[in-house]
Amino acid sequence: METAVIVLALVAAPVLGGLICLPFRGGRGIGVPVLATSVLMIVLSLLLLLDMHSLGLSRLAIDEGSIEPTKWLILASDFALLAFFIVTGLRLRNRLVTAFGVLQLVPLIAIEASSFGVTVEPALLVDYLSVTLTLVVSIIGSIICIYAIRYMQHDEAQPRFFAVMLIFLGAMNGAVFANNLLWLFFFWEVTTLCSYLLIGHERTKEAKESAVRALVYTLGGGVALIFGILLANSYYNTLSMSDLLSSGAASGLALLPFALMAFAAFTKSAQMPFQNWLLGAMVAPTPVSALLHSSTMVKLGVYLLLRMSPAIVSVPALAWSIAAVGAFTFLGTSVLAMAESNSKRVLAYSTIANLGLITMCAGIDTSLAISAALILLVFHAVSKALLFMCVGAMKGETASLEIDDMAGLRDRMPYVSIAFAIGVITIMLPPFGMFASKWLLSEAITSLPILAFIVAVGFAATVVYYSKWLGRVLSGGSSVARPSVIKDKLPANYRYTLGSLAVMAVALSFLINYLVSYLINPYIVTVFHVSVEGTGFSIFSSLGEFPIIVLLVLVAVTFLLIGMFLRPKQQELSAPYTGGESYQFETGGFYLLSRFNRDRANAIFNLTAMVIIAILLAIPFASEVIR
Amino acid sequence: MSMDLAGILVSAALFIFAPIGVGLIMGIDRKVTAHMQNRVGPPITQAFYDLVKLFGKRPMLMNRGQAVFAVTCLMMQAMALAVLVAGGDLLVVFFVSGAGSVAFVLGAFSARSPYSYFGAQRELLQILAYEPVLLLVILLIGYDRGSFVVGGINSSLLPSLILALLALVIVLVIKLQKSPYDIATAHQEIVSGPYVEYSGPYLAVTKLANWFETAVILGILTLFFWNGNVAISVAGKASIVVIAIFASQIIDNITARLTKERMVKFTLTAGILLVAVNMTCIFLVRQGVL
Amino acid sequence: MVLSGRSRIKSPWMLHFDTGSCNGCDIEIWALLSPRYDIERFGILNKANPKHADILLVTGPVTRKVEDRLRLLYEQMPEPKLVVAVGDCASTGAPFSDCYNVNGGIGRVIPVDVFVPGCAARPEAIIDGVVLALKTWKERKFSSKTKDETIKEPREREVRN
Repeated sequence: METAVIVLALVAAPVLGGLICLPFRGGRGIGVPVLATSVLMIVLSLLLLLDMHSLGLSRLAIDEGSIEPTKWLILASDFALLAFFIVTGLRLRNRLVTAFGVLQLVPLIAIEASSFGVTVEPALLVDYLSVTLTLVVSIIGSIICIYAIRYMQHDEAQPRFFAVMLIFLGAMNGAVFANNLLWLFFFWEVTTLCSYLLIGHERTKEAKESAVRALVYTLGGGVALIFGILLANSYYNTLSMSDLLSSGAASGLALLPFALMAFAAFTKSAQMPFQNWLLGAMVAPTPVSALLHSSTMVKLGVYLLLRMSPAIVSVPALAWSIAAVGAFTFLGTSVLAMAESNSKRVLAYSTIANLGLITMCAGIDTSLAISAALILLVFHAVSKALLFMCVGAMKGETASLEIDDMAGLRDRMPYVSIAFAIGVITIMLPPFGMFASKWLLSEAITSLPILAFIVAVGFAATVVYYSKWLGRVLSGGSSVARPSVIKDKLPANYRYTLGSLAVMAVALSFLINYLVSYLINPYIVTVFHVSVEGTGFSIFSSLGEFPIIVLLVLVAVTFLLIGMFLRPKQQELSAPYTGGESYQFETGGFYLLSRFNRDRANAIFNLTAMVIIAILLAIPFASEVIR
Repeated sequence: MSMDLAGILVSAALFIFAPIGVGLIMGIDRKVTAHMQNRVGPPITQAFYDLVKLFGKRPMLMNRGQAVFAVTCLMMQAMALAVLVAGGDLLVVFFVSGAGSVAFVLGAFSARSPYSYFGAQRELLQILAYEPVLLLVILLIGYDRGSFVVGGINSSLLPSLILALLALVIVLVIKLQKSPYDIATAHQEIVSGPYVEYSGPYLAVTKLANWFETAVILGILTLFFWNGNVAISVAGKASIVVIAIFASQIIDNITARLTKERMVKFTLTAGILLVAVNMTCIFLVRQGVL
Repeated sequence: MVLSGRSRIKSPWMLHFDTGSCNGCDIEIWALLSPRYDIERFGILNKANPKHADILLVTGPVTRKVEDRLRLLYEQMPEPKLVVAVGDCASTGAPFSDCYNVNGGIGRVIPVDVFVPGCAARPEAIIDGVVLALKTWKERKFSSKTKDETIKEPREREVRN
């Protein structure tokens, strides 16, 4: 298939699929279009990767001329969208929403007025960064949609739900392919809309409040984005992302577009101090949390930062402020996650922490750091989606999202417990997933030491809150008659979706060399002109080397051998030691900070983050004064 | 890691000698502590008697998960030591050893027993206290030398990393489970903490894992001295280890156990401060200011 | 195996349990841990956890309330294990042997290897008792099926009204 057609299909097909879902009253049979669209997306994204490789392309440009009516379609939809936001703000009597809607409309009109009829070439630009993101969105997003078929089966408004989910996937793909900055803005705001609709899906009071809060924060980011585009147009005289990046950041006030776009990225990725909207968004159904608020939508912000990073490498102050926001977010959210007992909130904090790490890498801006960021992005998407889906499955059994209620799930739901364990281990432990990235990260940090101190404490905190939780789930009594994984009565849909993500997480860890050489290296080569080498047996970098495959194989063999050959016989089992008593004790959870300390810590972290962002926004002005 | 036959043999010898050496160190530790307390104490080889005796007992478990995690912990710690003696990457050593500690904690959690549970939580707090400091010391070594590969370190880390050495002694106190921070295995408070539901051969496995873990940190300590002459190098490394262990013993015998909050606060504050000051000094020296 | 047999004797970890004694014998047992008597030189460590222990040092005449707990602790000790009854109360229950709330000695609840008399039993006598118990291990051949061999039946317990 023509590669351009694949690219367009990746954007259009899910939108069509979503619209097809709408007439399915009562959700009967809605699995068919969702499944079909999902499979199509997976196939298309893999085809795109294969095509890019076999054609030896490092980037593929699609001109506006070849997709003629799209420009007017997007323009009209853009205005319609902003009108919708303004109307929503008026309807909800929320001044901020209305104000932000208007503040977005005005610059858009200004830009369109000044550059009407100017064609931005190319309209869509596909390089390996876009391919990575679209693989994440299409494959993981599709699996989550398939999972949602079963999860939402008792919901009343399924057509609306699946329509918005699928349209969202199309919007994400559009955003990562867009080279025209206005198109990027349009798709960005579509994702904001989808997020608002999905968070408020259940129409409870809490859901509506959280949805409005999310709308306020992300619209605020949209304001920053459109103003950044307006200023970019006036300073650099272009609406094309590639032209903007190749011209590089000048100094003085011409830095303002980049600072504003970084601000927009921070709101979208819920960095501190904007993390509240993501925490509140956890009232949404679990598939929404898995899709939007961990694997895909929030990655749009860091995608923008990664895209921008080659341009700001010459302005250390700006890059380092971005890195500082990221590192600080990582520390703050990891510490606060230790104090949470609601599982989805822990996962939300963990997502924000991981995005903070990626932001930090984007700020450090060396070839190793960006590779680490991409590896983190991919692995986190897989593992976090898996974790959210497991939490959703567990909720079906325990009817609760509290971690303390998940004690002993190993005996009742062995399949989900194992999938959950794989998810947690691939996020926090070597030699799986995060290993290579943490390692590359630590090495890249030696270029900017102060961040190392912040990140080191964050890593330890990450280990603490994940181990606590995993330990709770894996705690089991002593019994020879334990249900086996094969005979677990989990619904087939959950088995396949959880199992596929778990297998993907483990497989990606083993195949990390291929991931690096086929997906990440091509992008690094085009941007930095050096390559991150990856041979089959080890990954080298300028600061050290290690044999990944050997380690992975040893650990895998160990687990398998022991698991297979160790079967406790009846004589071996013993009761727990409780001083000779024979009744079962229940233990409470351990959440390091008291409520007072938690609020205080939250306030301090928010304040510091606000200061750093204020500095970030002040840098262009300071630079202008100095010049 | 290009190694010739002699290198491989040396590494293998070190790998086998290290846990034996740690066992002897533990025996000597008990002997010296006993003499400090005006009594005789067990023979130096007591640790080996303990280990062999444990292998001869009937195996007893609460569930299979405990054993899986215990053996995983042992494998990871052994791998970490293997990478260290083979002259590999210090960050790899750190991460793999850290994974081993986490595996041990998960093993303690997987038994549904209150003492085991509390012990595991306290062990996590210990990890929260010492892991950042250890990571920062390793990062400082990398910053100083420009590389994390142990085989490439061919000069003494002292005296330029003297404060890092002090930070490592604090980490050593926690890792060797000595007062004032023997929080996880506080005998009088939570019996044996995370070890409580292990018995017989499985307890022996956890003990052995502990030995390998100690060997790793002592191995990092030995990096602080190097000399071209092999005999002087060995003597110097041994004396650093002896001094560090002796310091931890003295601290053990003159302090009482403190609270876990205090442990976290003190270790993080003191450790990070020491490493930060050290790094600043190195930076200033490089700039030519100092 | 010669090595494991020797190690077993060189490293017996003890569990101390009080089944209702006046604490006189308990104080003597704790005195063993002090520098004056120093049983750590024999490799004996005071482990509070039955799963880590080899020797069970019991005091007290086993009140009815604590009987089940004593049995549970004994069962939670992995073989090979030894039981040393310390003091007159633990041996025969005297002077409480006729009381309604007392079982009259540990031998009625769990199998005992060595009885150490005395009220309170002197520390030297206790050490003597432990060494005597360890001697039974010296003369025994341990096989891999130790778990089946060493489970002995306790003496018949008299029914009291």
